[in-house]
This record gives sequence, structure tokens and C-alpha cells, in this order.
Amino acid sequence: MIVIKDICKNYGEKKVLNNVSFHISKGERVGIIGLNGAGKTTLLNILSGILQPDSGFKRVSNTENILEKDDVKRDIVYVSGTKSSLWEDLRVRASYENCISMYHVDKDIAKKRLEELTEAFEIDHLLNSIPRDISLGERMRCELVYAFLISPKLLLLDETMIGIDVSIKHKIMKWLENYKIEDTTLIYTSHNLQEVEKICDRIILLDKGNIIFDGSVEELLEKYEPLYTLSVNTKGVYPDMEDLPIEKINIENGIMEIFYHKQKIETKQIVSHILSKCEIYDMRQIEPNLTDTIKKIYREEL
Amino acid sequence: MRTYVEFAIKKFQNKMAYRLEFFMGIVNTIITIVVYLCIYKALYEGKAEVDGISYAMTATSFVISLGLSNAFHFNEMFIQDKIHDGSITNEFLKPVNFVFRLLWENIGEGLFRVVFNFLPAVVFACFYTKLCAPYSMGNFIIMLISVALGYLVLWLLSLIIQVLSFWLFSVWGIMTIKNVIVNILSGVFLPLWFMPDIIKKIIVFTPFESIYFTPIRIYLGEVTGMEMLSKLSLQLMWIGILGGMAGVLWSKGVKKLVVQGG
Repeated sequence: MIVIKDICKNYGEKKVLNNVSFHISKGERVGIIGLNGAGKTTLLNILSGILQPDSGFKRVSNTENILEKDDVKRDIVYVSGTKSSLWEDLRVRASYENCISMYHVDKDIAKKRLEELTEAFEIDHLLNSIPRDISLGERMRCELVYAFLISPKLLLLDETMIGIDVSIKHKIMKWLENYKIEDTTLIYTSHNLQEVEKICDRIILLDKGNIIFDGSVEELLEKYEPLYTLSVNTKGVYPDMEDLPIEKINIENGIMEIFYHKQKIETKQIVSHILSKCEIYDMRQIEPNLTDTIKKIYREEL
Repeated sequence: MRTYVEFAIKKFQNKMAYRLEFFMGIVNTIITIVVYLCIYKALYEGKAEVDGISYAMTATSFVISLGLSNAFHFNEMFIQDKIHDGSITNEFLKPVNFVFRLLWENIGEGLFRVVFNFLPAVVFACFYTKLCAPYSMGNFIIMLISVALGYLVLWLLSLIIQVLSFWLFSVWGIMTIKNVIVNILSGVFLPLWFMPDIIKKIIVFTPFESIYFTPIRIYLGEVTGMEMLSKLSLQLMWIGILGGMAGVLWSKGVKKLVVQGG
């Protein structure tokens, strides 16, 4: 579906992308993560064809120049938090009608799909509004409906959850998770790593224009060996843990926090050890998440 | 093609939603017609003809050119605004030709103004003053073709200046100057018959005569036969020249945006 090889892009003296290479297969769901200025949006712009790299090779849907081929453009939708696809001066419904006509979507299928999407994204009350008169969050929901109305083969989502209420965001996230069954290749960028973790199977980590990791979420967690945390309430009794391969112990307000790598020791071994020394009144295990891992990578590894 | 026609219909329908603007447009057109016809009447001072041109011909010329300028009424800052807010690149990704889409949408908006602003005002003008009937049915039909060609000449002039937004921060000033020049040299407010000879000689070498004055002269039967064909050819020539210029500028502008990222 997508082949990128040794892509470089500079803005003046600033190197934005530096020899970036990867391959994305049909149906993959890839999250692109990076700090501000890492090159995420530039990479998506290049993938969509609206930006040309300074050097390197790019092929998307067997095409090197997307902008010259309308049939390829019909397979690609790019939704960005900063760029609108809707007609600014037309009602949202009219933008959808234009979209259906442009992308040659069957009218009966489109009608059914619009009904489903209107309900899922809660935009029924916005269909007769003009985009410039609605809030950013509402607008982004309308933009997402525009994208899914087409059912594209390649969907590029760049910071699309900005301004959306938490409750509706949760609903949209659920919808996006279920969208996995569709045969769409998804590339998703966001600063919210929990979103990326939920939606994507693969992660590309960018830093200063370089790919520093490319693999599955599991591989990322494994590679960077994140710490698990066991929080134990032993009512003031703190057993000796020195014989165990534990990374760190914190004691605060009578609660003992034990940090460890699962590769070195299992949770049940720690629990058995504590129980052999004292009673446990309360216990909670905190699994590492992607956010912590990424923070660790940027803080320690780089 | 069907998609482009649907774009035009959408813009037409969209305009219908703004009822106040719709009624104010009619009132505005009627006031403009009354004011200018009063000025022409005063200039004629009761004479049957001035320089061989009757008052009815002048009034007809003004009403037709006003109708055409009504048709040519849209947001000429569209491309500039799209470049400034960054959404122009999203437009490139739509699977249609951006320039054709713009043309058809502008036609949709223009037709709305002609049907709902200009035609009611013409009916009013017919009661208010005597207007010339078309010279012949043939001339009337060819005038409609000439109107379409004149519209394209004017639209391409606007497009060329809009496309300059790829290089300039604001084209508002250039657009304003263009509109003033078009209004004067194409004879919207003062028919070209009354222009000084030196200006008329210069206008022959510009596209301005092709915009409003050629269709008006065909309607009035001032040009017939081979001369009519030569005027239509001249309009086509200007469309070719301006279309070529707009095409080259557009390609260079898009390339600049895609290579440099804005």
C-alpha cells in the first residue's frame, strides 16, 4: 500500500525528515508518535501527496504522484485538525452531498452510511449548520463523518480529536476500534498516546525527523522494558526485599510501592515473598502503558 | 461533468437560503438601474440621439451589462483565503479539478443573482423606461453564446489575479484595481460608444471589450454577419490567451506549494 524509502525534507536549514523509510501493508493501522516538531504532519503531508520530499522515493497505492490521478485520490482521505475538507459556506449536509457525488459513492449506500455516522458522531443537529458557525470540536466530528462517508482505502488522521468533548471522544474511539474490521489502511497521529494504543497495531516513533522505533505496541513495551508497579498495604510492616531482582521501592503513607521488570521477576513471586514475611491488607498492580514507555524513551534513552 | 453541475446547483440552492440578501439584492439592482437611467436621461437632455446612439440603446446597454456584472459576483478572495488558512492543499486532494469546480460554483452563484436579482429588476426597468428589443432571434441566441464567452474572459482575469496569491500575501489591492479598470474599460457604467477615440483604440487591443460590449452590440444588431463572427473569434482568442496564462500560473503556484510546503 505504502512504500517510503530514504525520504528527506528540509524547511530552509531545518531538517524535518531525515532518511525515513518504511513499508505499510494494506489494512494496517499505524500510529505515528513524536514530540512537537518531530515531523509527523510533514510525513502525512508527503504520504498524501500535498508535499513533495526533497529526496527519496515514495509510492502510495501504486502511484508516485497522487495529485495527478483522480481515481487514486478517490481512495485517500486526509483529515487534519488544522485543515478543513468541508465547504465553508455550504451547510454540512450539502458538503456531504458534494462528497458523495465527487467520490462516486452509491446514493443508497451513502444514505445508510450517513444515518449510521450521524448517530455515532452525534452530529444530527449540525447537518443544517454552516461549518464556520460551529465549534472546533463539532467541526472535527463533521470532518470525520465526511471521511468515513467515503470509506477510503487509505485514511490519514492528523490530530483529529482536538476540541472534542471527552464523552463524545470516547464514543468515537469505540467506533474507530470497531472500524478495524474494515479493509482500510489507517495512519493516525496524536499527542494522546492512549488513543494511539487503542486504535493502532503498529507504532512509528519519530524524533527530530528520524524513526527511532517501528514495530507493534507489544514490541515497543518489551523493547524498552517498562516497569510494573505493585502497590501493597502491609500496615507498617516492610519486609526485606533485597534478595529479589526489584528495581526500586518507595514507601509512602504506609504503602509500599515496588517497581520491577516482568522479564526478571513475576508478580506472584513478589506476592509470595511478602506473604511469607507479613500479612497483606490491600494490593494493586499497575501495568505500564504506552504513555509511560514513550515518556521513558524521550526522557532517558535520547 | 455531472459532479461539476451538482456543485453549481448546490451553490445556487445555498444562495436561496439567505432571504434577506435575496430581497436586498433586488432592491439594490432596482436602485442602481433607476439612478443610472436618471443620469443618462439628464446627459441626453431630451435629445433623440448622442453621437448616433439613442437613449434606448444606452439604457439597454447599461441594463444588460448590469445583468452580466450581477452574474459575475463571487468571492474573489477565495484562493487567497484558502492559502492563508492552509486548506488549499485539502482542496487538491479532492478528486475533481479545482479550477473547474471553482468555475462551476461561481456560475451557480452568478445564475442565482441573474434569476433572482437581475430579472425582476429588468421587469421593473421595462415599466420604468423604454428598452430595445433584440435585433433578431438569431442575434439574441448568438448574444447568449457571446455572454458565456464574455463571462469566461472576466472569470479568467479574476482567476489570474487570485492565483497570484501563491506568491503575494494579499491580492486585494490588485483585485480592486482590476475591478475599477474592468468597470471603466468594459463599458459597464459608460458604454464604450462614448469613450474618447484614443481610449477606444487602446481598448481594441485589450480583453475588456469582449466582456460586456461585444454581447451588447450583438443584441442591438450593431454587428452582424462576418463582423459578428470576428467578434466571437476575438472573445475565443482572449479566452485562449487568458486561459493559457492562468494555466501556467496555476501549475507553477501548485508546484511551489507542493515543493516548498506553502
